[in-house]
Amino acid sequence: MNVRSQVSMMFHLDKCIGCHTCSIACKNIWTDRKGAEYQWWNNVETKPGTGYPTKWEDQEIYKGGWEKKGRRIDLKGAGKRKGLVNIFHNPNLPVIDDYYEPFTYKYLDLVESPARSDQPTARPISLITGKPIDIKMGPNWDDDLSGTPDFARKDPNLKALSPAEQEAMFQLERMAFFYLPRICNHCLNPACVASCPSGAIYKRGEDGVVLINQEVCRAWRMCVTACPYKKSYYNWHTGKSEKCILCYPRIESGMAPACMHSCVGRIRYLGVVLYDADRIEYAASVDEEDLIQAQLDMILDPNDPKVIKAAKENGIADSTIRAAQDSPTYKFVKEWGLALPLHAEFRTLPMLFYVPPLLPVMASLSEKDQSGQSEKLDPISKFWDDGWLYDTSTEELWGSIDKARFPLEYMASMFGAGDTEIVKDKLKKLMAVRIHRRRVTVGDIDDKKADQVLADVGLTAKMAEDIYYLTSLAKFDDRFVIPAAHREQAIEMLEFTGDERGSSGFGFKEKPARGL
Amino acid sequence: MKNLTKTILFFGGFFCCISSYAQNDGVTLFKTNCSICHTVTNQKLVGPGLGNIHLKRSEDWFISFVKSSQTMIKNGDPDAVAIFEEYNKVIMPDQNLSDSQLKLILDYIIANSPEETSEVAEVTDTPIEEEEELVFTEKEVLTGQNLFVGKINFRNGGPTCNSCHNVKTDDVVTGGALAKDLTESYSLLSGAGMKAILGAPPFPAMRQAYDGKSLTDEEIHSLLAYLKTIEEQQYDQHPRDYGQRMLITGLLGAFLLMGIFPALWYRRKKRSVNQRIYDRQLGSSN
Repeated sequence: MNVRSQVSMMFHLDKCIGCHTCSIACKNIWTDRKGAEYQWWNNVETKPGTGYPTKWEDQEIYKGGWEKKGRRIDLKGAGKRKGLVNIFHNPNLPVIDDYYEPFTYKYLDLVESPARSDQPTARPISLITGKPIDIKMGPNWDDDLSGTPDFARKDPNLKALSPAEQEAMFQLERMAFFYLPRICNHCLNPACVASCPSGAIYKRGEDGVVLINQEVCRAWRMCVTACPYKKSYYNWHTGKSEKCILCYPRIESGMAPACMHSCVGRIRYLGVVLYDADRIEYAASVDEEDLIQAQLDMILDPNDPKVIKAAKENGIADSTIRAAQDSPTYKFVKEWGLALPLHAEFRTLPMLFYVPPLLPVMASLSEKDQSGQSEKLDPISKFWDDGWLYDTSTEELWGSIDKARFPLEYMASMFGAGDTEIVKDKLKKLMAVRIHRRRVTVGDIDDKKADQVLADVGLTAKMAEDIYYLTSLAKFDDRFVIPAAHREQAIEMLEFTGDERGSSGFGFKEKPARGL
Repeated sequence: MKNLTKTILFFGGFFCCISSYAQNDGVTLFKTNCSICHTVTNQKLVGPGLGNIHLKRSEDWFISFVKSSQTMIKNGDPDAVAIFEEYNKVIMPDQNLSDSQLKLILDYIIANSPEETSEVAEVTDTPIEEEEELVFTEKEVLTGQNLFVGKINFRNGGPTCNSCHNVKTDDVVTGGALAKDLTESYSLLSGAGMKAILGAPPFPAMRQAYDGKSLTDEEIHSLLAYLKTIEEQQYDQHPRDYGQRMLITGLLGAFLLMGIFPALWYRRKKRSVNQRIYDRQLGSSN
């Protein structure tokens, strides 16, 4: 057992309101620079939709991530041999049009334009060429299902659905969407690290943050191809690739990353998990249906004395172990089994987990003859033409999940590596917590039934309350359990601090009674 | 510490300058710059003996000839052209010396010239001794070839001959075009002249290149052997002339590569995935 620690994230998709505050916070801090304008280390996508860059999930186009070949796994589009052959032309690289041409507006024209018969306008200006452009695309052009035929209908996840199911999803009455905020997953088996010909990318030992050394990067851009989440971006101005750094300067000083700190819906959680590094290779190369389970099995119980002992032997600080025991990520992912990695089939073992959205499945929608309702109304002024029954009763408990507006196959394509059962399990748990809370607050469900529901999904009333607390009431320190960075130890590795020790401060006016 | 180094460098440089100026007397100047090709008597070396030059040429003529003989020849000075013709059109390298230095040299020559005979105008160019025909073994010729092309390095680290010079032969690769072709150098400069030049090169670029890396006597001997053989055998040699073929082959290769790379990279992602959306959009100019 080779225990290591990883700062791991959890996003609760039921709570995301798609406000893009996270993206703006990140942009303001890190990517508001020349060459980085198009880089969205954090972005929020509408699902169904094609995302950013367009169709990033379709690895037939971008050849990102790993693929299984026999008993081992290889990078799909990069790697030693393929990388060497393609090193000068990198055939599957996204082009700027797959992202968008970044732009601003010539705001000064509004102020400085001379008096004319017409109002001045602020023309859009390309941030790459500096010349006026026609804006063709933006980083969230498909926001809230806009341009559905071009974007939502072309969502790569729809491949898992039959044409009839796809049509059903886009019926106006049944249409639904949710938001998917994305940052770098800081994977345990990062394809970007494996692909880099210069060896510029590395995973930090102490917290697992994946970083690109800007002094070593030689702009081969293999990481851009290799990352299946397309979260490594090439800066055309500096000639180096860049990616999300999980705000490590903030984490080291105990602050939450900017995107998480600013999150309006408080959907983001950050905590340490301990994992067994010896099992990485195995977990990344098992069959597709076992991928998620193998990844979850790698994450170790931080309360297990054996794990604690092994962690200490590996030099993991006590404060980190304590943080792992309080980690909200660990609770959601392992203890309650509510969160899943995004696209586990890319085999990078992402360490950002998502609680899948329950969406409008609290009620089931069924057809019902409602003609009786019309008779109650004044026939001239009003009539009842709705033939649907919006059934919020809990009579048919789990049936509503199967009939969810979002077909389970769609969710499974994103969060379950194609396995609908594993996603269904999470959704049932979420629903069980809601039924439990409905018992507590509304009181229209009897205890027996509510307890039965919880037992069905393997939860207790205590656990349901804890989930409810961490989901809805959690305070800042509950959501972000950031271990101390122990920078004092890092400094001691580099320089001798004995010279300063005891010689700083104002000294003593009188000799202390207990002696110096 | 840094300041100390700087001080040492500064004063060191200063003293170096002084010591180099101290050598500015006629003897040294003549020895370093002239004596390889010229004597102060009437004896010929590579160039004519300079004994009693002051009786034949004016001081101005002497100075301007030494500074740039070719300029004088181009300007059609009859004496300069005559000398040039007489000495097999061997170009005397321009000497980077000041007027005062040249005067010092001239003074030295005057002072050391032999007593003038009654017939002042009749100066006979009589070499010291009849130049004996040098005989070389085949092994020496081979060593010379190896030294010339750099298969054997010069002992003192001097640069290989063919990095600047070419000789007409089938046996070795074509040499550089930076300096004179040496195919006929042996008869042009004579064995003794070549020996002197190789021992202490008078040509500025060559002097610079071999500064502190002078050739040993054996090396010079071997090189002479090689150059003599080259000259004797030059009419049997047929070096290949690629001419236009070089260019055509290059162009063909370039076209071939231009075909191979697109074929290799045929599966490249050529269009943006958004291209169909962009194609539909109307620009502000439409």
